[in-house]
Amino acid sequence: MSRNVSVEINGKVFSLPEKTNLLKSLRDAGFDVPGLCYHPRISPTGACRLCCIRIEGLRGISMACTLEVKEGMKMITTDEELENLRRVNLEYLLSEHKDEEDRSTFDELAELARQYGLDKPENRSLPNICDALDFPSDHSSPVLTYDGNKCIKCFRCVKACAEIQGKEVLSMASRGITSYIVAGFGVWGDSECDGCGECIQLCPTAAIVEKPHRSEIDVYNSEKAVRTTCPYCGVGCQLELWVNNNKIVRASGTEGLMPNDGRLCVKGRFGYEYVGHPDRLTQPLIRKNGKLEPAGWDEAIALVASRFGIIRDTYGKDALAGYASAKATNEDNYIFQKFIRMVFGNNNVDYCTRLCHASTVTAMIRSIGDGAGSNSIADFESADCLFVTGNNIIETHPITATYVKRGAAKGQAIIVVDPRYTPLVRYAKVWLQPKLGTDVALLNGLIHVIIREGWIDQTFIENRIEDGMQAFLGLKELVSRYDPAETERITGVPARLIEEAARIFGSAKNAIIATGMGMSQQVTGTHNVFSLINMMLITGQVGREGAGINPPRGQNNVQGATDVGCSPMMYPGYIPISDKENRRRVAALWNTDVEKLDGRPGLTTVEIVHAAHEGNIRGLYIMGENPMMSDPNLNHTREAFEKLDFLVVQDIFLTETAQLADVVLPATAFAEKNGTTVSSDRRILRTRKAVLPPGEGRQDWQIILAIAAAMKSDIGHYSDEAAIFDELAKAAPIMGGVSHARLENEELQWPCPTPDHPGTPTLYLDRFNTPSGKARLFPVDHAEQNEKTSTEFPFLLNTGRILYHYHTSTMSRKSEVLNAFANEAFVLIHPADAFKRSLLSGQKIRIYNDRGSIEAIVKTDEGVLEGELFMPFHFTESRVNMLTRDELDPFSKIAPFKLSAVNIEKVTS
Amino acid sequence: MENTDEIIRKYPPAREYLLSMLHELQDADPGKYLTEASLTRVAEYLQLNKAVIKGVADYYSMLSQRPRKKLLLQVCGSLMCHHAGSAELYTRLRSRYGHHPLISLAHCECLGQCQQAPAVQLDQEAFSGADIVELIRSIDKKTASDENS
Amino acid sequence: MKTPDAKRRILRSGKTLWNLADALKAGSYQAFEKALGKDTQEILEEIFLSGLRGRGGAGFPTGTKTKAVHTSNTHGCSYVVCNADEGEPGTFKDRILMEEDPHLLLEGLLIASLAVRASHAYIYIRGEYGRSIERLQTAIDEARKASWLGEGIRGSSFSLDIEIMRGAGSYLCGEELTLLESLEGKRGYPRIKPPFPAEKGLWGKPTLVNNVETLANLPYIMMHGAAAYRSLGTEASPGTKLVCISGDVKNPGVYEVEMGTPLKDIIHGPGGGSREGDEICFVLLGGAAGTFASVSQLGIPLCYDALRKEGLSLGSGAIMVFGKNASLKDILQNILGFFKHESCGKCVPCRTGTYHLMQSWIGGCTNNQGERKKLLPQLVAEARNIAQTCLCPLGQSPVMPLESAMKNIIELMD
Repeated sequence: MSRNVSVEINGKVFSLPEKTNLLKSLRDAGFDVPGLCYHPRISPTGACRLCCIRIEGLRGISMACTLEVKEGMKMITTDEELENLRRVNLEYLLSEHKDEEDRSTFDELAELARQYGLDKPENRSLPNICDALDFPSDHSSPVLTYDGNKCIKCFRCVKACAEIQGKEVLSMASRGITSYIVAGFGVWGDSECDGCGECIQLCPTAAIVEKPHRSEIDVYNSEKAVRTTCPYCGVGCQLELWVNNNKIVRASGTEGLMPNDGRLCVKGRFGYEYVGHPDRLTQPLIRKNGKLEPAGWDEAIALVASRFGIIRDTYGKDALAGYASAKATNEDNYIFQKFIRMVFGNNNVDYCTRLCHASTVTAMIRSIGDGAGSNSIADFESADCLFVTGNNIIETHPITATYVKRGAAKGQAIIVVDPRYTPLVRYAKVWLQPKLGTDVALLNGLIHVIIREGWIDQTFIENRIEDGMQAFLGLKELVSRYDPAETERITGVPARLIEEAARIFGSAKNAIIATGMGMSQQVTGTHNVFSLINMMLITGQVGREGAGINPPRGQNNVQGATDVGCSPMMYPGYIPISDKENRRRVAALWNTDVEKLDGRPGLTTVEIVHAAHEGNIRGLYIMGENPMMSDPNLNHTREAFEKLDFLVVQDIFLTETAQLADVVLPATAFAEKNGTTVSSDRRILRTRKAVLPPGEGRQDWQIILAIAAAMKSDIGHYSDEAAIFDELAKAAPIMGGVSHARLENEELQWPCPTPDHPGTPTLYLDRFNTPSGKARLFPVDHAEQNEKTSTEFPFLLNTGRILYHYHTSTMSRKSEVLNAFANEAFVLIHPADAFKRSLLSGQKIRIYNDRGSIEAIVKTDEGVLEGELFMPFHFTESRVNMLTRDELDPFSKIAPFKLSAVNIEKVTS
Repeated sequence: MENTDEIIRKYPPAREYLLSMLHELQDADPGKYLTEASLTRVAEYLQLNKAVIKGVADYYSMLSQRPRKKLLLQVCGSLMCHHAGSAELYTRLRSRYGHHPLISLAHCECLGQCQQAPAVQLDQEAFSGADIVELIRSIDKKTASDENS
Repeated sequence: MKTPDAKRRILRSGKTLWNLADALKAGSYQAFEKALGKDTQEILEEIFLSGLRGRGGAGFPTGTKTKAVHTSNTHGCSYVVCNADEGEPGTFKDRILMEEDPHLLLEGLLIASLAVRASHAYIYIRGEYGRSIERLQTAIDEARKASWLGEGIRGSSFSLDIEIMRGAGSYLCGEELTLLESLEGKRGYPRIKPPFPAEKGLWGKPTLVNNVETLANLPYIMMHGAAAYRSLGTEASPGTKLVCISGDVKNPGVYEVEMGTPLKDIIHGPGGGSREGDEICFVLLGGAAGTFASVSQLGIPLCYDALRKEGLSLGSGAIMVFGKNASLKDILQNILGFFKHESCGKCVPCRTGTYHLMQSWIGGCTNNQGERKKLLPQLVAEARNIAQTCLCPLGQSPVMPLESAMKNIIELMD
């Protein structure tokens, strides 16, 4: 924060923050200085020349937006001449601009024109030249339209795209009076624009406006705008939902608040369509004669309660299990795990985290004590070095990526480790492209060079690692055989790139690691992350501000669901269930008998499926999860679910999984909920209700409580979600000081143990969260993969996500906008392989192995290695998880989505 | 396209060489202009988006995104040339070459030949004063043989 | 009284100086060799004491600018950029220098780079100057081969590479900050000042931007010292100046004259005065962004301060002489059209203002002479508004010819 200095404005003394933008400071101090090209989130442009002021000692007129506050500045912000000059420039702008009211957007130019009495053409002295200039318009984008006649060439959109989002898709075209904004070569829809709409948010006039619901928005008569948290991915963007007639008509980023400071991606801004979609479930469904039929709530709840009861009574309590939801709130999930533990009486509660970062979390907890990211999102911009491994961050965490790109623009050195080209490579200093399944070897190779070159941090090793140098020597011994040549042999990564990456990471001042599904979703997932942490620890790149390891989370509340106890091993706040003292404490809080709380670890996600397959799990309660898309080896999953005696799915759509259910319960979407979620950087964020649920949809937590009551269990009474959170805060010490009330005005990152605690932006500053307070090295060796290519299945298939869709796409594919960008399954293949198989981009191929067979369009792409394929998992018509394995990482029970041997063949129609 | 890549790859992949690349691509193109295809290749090579390249190509008046004929004959319209009768010269040239299949006629900026105004430019070479008469003669000769061949 | 065509310092005699061998015979690179033997402070001091002022038009003291770059260069990285974007109508001195004596410019660049410890210099040159580019490139190649450029020049620890960057048609890119944007491969938009290039220039590094003629003065200063340099010219404007005489005179061309020479002595001396049967009616000094002077004002000496006192400007050294056939109406229209065409469009007053000025004048031109005389003051008022709030020098330019025409020669309006 800058210090305040005194300046004289219009003869009076004021105290303004030094070195801040003068126009912003003047406005903050209450001076109404006009200006259209300035926006606090972009660099000053000095284009509109409306913020003219007079500064003592400077010749002529100055523009406030191009100056910074300096001690002793004396200025005049308004006098007759200044007002005249503003009026002249405003007239100039109006002369090249078409007056046409558009109530869908707040028009800053029109507002200023009114202020200066220039809204009436008869008050203007210049002829309007707009028609003569014949500016172009562009309606080709799925998300927005551009009208050159309303454009004032302020550069805000160009800079929003380049500086805020780091994309630089837009430019000014032509020159002088005929200048206008262009994307691509003039056709927005053919450009690299990914539809984030940052330009819409910053446009001061109606030149760039969004397409969806434009006719339904009237900014001057808007019903309400509700601030809430984005339902997509784990960044936790703050946004405002505009509502008209119980319908969301717009989403815009909330400026000035972290983690996004107003930025949104295409899903956040345009992906809300699903909330009001006609396919929403509106009433409970009960399977009758093999078909799901509408039913009343009473009937449905009674049926669920009685069937779960019968299974419990017949097969014992271990025959029941539940999937919690990474998309539901903390409050919903807290009640869900409480239900499983108190009503089912076991710990069989898990959710899709097991399929994403379980290995990361397992390794992190054992090495450094917490499974959550150690840093704040802003550190992605300020770090000198960013090591991104197995994380297609630009597509999967677009707003985190904006920080990365801004960092890159300032000279941050980015190292990308990915077997496939990701858009981040464009910003990277080095791209390491290892063969699938060779991450441990690559990381050991990097560690080898780091040790050889002496880039280790010995003080850190001695003070903050268990067994200090002795542990280090163990690691040194293990990596000794991973010299660059050997590492190249195993991984295929050229030795010189290994040396280069090791140098960059080893000599960085502050390095941040981002690790993703590419690392975790492997049989060696836990080992991969151990190696990564080893590299971080010996270089001392953790345990202080601006350095550390971060696993960006895939869904809006993956972080929170585990934080609040949806884990087979842990109570809320990462309290192990195995410890009797812990159980006693939880039992007291839950007003139950300690003996009723099971001390044995429950089953994990894939284990639940296996158990169902074997007949050990008979009843399953799934809340807001879609394992029939997201689980590995889907044919096996289907068989397992079909063997269940009773399957309950609680969701907002009739998902692939819900279609198999015996009872389907209609729940609520994010915009219909109150509560909280936790972002990837441990930020506890409020979800607020903006619209009413359709039909008879109910709050998830209320449904759970109703089932509990029907099963004659009392698991608590809550007036609202805030009350649930209050109990959660008592259960989870990391959130002990947090409440809904505090979140109204504060940004809090856990741990936040007491009401006066400010939250914790960076973990491990003083100690690691291990019993000894020190971090632990876990040297691990490269292991050959069991899954290998063969003549029968000669390709290795990798899976992942794309920007425009989200998880199993039940939400995102309801959006016309998102579908306009991408609505078709594809598989990427190296051009050389395509040539060998006589395949052309756009042809349909069959991808198959022993587990299943799917079809998709093939795209040749030099971004994948020869012999490897890549496919996104979002598309229900081409469920790639038909082909993936359910063989598990022994430590974290994660499934290896990233590596399956397959073959392909052309589909002849 | 191969030719395009050859030209582009002569330069390091750095933005400061953008104008040089565009100049060379334009000169090498049979239509003496920048095609969308070549702009796209430049964008890929420099890892910049298409609009950025187009924005630059748009800005500079020597760069064209419309095809031109084999010979580009430009008349300086700047102050001194204007004073010395460049408008009349232009009119005369237009009546001579206005519909010529091999010659594009246009105005250009000051060629720095103000001491011998008016000046014209054929492709990259400037002519002024008495040289213009000679130039016209040689253009006629050259285009006549080109047309015949 | 100063006489024109005194000792020449920049324009050297010799028909084929673009050949390295001939240039060396004429003394090229001797001054640089002398500079190599000096320490940086001495070089800086010599330039500073010479009182040399920027020849691109602004007349800023070159020594002060050079020192500033030297001071900002704390991280061992700075650039020297030669502004060879000679786009001001009526100006062609730099073209002559580059075509006829390119090694003089290279030597100036060597000295400037040595002074600010730059190892990379750029010549940003107008795209229209095909022959200059060719000659310079040949000179650079020859100089590199002879080890006057490249790694460890003449066995010293000093290295310099010079690259030619070709502009592509934009008058505004002659403005130093815009030039840097263009050099970086961007649209030619002016940057916000401050920071000045000396502080943050090319890629944010300290950068010395000098005009061709300015750099061409450095070898003389190095060779003969500041005192010798100051022996010509006036106290505040030492040295000589290249002027470009064009228009209705007998001998248009580039001449080197001593600073302080009265304008009429230049026009009638080397310029040869008006042609047979014609007479000089008015003069435009400094190009389109310059000022009109009446015949009665031609006694003013050619130097920054005396001209400024009279409300006139030296600019880049263009002296455009107009005789009886000149149409002030047309000239103004040409000038206004030029600014409209060259406005980059970044700031509102210049983008729209230059357009409206042009449209108003075209409208006025359909009217009679009396109306035009009345219209001119309105345009001056509008141009003043533009000049007051615009972002860069281009928007400040239209007011200069308009206002000087109104003040000095309005009675000549046709």
